[in-house]
Amino acid sequence: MIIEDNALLRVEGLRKWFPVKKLLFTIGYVKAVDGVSFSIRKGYTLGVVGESGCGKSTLARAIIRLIEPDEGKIFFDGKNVLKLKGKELLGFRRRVQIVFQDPYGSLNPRMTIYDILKEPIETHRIDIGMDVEDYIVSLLERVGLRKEHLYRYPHEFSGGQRQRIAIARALALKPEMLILDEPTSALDVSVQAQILNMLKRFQKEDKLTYLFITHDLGVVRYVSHYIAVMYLGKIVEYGPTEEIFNNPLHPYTKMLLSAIPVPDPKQARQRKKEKPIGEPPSPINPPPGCRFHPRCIYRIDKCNKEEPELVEVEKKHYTVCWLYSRK
Amino acid sequence: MSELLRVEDLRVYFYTYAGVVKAVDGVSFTVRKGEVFSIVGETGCGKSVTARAITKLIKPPGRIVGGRVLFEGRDLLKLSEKEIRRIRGKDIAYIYQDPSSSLDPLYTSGYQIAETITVHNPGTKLKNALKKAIEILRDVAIPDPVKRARNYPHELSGGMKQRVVIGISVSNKPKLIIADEPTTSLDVTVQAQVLDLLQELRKKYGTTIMLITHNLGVVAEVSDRVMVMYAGKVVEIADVYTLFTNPLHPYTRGLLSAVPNPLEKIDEIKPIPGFVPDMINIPRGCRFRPRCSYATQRCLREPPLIEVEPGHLVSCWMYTGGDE
Repeated sequence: MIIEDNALLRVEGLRKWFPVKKLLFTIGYVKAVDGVSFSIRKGYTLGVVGESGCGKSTLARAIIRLIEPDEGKIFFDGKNVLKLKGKELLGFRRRVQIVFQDPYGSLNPRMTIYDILKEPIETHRIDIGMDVEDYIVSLLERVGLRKEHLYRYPHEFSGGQRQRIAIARALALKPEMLILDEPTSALDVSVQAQILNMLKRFQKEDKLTYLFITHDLGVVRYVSHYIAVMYLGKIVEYGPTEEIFNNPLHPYTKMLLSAIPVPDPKQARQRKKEKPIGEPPSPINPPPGCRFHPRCIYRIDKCNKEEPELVEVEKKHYTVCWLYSRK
Repeated sequence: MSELLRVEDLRVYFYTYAGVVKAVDGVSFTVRKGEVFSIVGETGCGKSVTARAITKLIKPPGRIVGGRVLFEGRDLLKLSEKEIRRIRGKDIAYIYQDPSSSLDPLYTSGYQIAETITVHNPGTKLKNALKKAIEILRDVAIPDPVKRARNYPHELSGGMKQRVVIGISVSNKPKLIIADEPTTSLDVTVQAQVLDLLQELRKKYGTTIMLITHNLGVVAEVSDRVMVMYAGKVVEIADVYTLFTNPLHPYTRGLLSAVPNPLEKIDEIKPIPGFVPDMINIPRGCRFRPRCSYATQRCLREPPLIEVEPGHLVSCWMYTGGDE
């Protein structure tokens, strides 16, 4: 199984369906996350990639219970997150912090940077061992900002600087894990590189564990140790990063890899490309059997009838596809 | 290849309460017939404003304050609104980033294509134009075009909508298509399809494409020549191979080493230090100077755009040949 026992975070069979209502009746479900299992060991990064609507952001939110999952288990450091209440839940949320994509939406425009960074410290009453202002200045300096930024408001900063503030806020509570939901997608490439390198440095310094959600395959290859490829609410392939890129197994992963534009004109024009077929279908009532079968060029008879099971094809490299099933 | 478009010393300023934003400040370039000419740069570099200024699509507080836009020898900036409307959508067509806002939600996709045809070809019956619209939908690889022509935008997926927008743009067989981030809002698999489609249409109709994007991957995939912009200025122009293998301007180099190539194992990407300047208080001299590790005293003066080898232009004092 993808799940390792000694992992910091273990997710088992997580499910979140959103009902689609018409008048008073439920006419279907958006199967945003539909039976997802994985684990992340301490100090590692799991990259989750997929196109819009594959459920990657719902997954991120469900793990910290910003959205209550319908089914499944989440274990953080051995404890079942879905059973936590009150103080214990607060304690869990201190240890797992989230950074969102849009640094314009995630910072309160009426609060100064000082107040934004002070709030979590006060809420969680953590022991910082020094004056609050000194601590906040040290956080700002850590993310590459300065003391004079302390009493400014979010609108006075550029997108990259705001994302630095959001990261500083996440780090304020000395968390063990960060959930990064497209943290650089709204940023320019030159700034994106700054943020990515900073996140990598913090991971080394603090032994942080990352769940890194993105649609950018270049970014995911740069930051992740392991990768999970999602398609319509399911993980279709999981494995060590270089394995996924050098030896993609699932037809969807292959299609994604051949569709990405490569910043090298020679490579871009000479490599063999598989033409992608169709578009990601609506996650409301997804296709039966393997959800990818309508777009798959390797489709066989049973693909539209039976759902394939997870198989370990290479060491630690899993996929969900009939082509690799031993049955 | 002959020249289709020549932009000379284009200046577009925005007169805001906070001050004058020189969004495009002396931009010159040429686009050759039949090529894909890309403009690449980060947010606020002036690439979209340049694209819009070509057919005078600048609204107040923005104003085109100088320059010439020669399209087949005619200066478009001198034309009246009435005259330029005859060119817009006919000889020069646009494709924008967000297909949902490019399409009118109250009309069917077929009608919107037909309308573009009738507007520019007076005397064409709507009925005939609608028939032609179905042909165009087929050209842009929309399955079941007869049915799709009767669909409203909300009934189509993002990729389909962008195909309809492309259909509208090619409906009058334009000489130049200006595509401003045409695939930015699309998923990667759909992006690949749309880029393929643009290439096919270019071959079929012999259209010239001006592509505006921030995505260096997209640039590498489809362009013939590339212009890099920074803070309202041209920093480098070269053919796509030269630009990626022998970038000269420190900004171009920085940009290329900041992007992780998904097909290669990457140990380190190198960010460009600092951030894009505030366009109201732009740095004196070379605008990239505060972020440039090669900056010297002479960079306090503005560098000229010079041709260092045939077809390769760069605006940096390191290549001017002279001394300090």
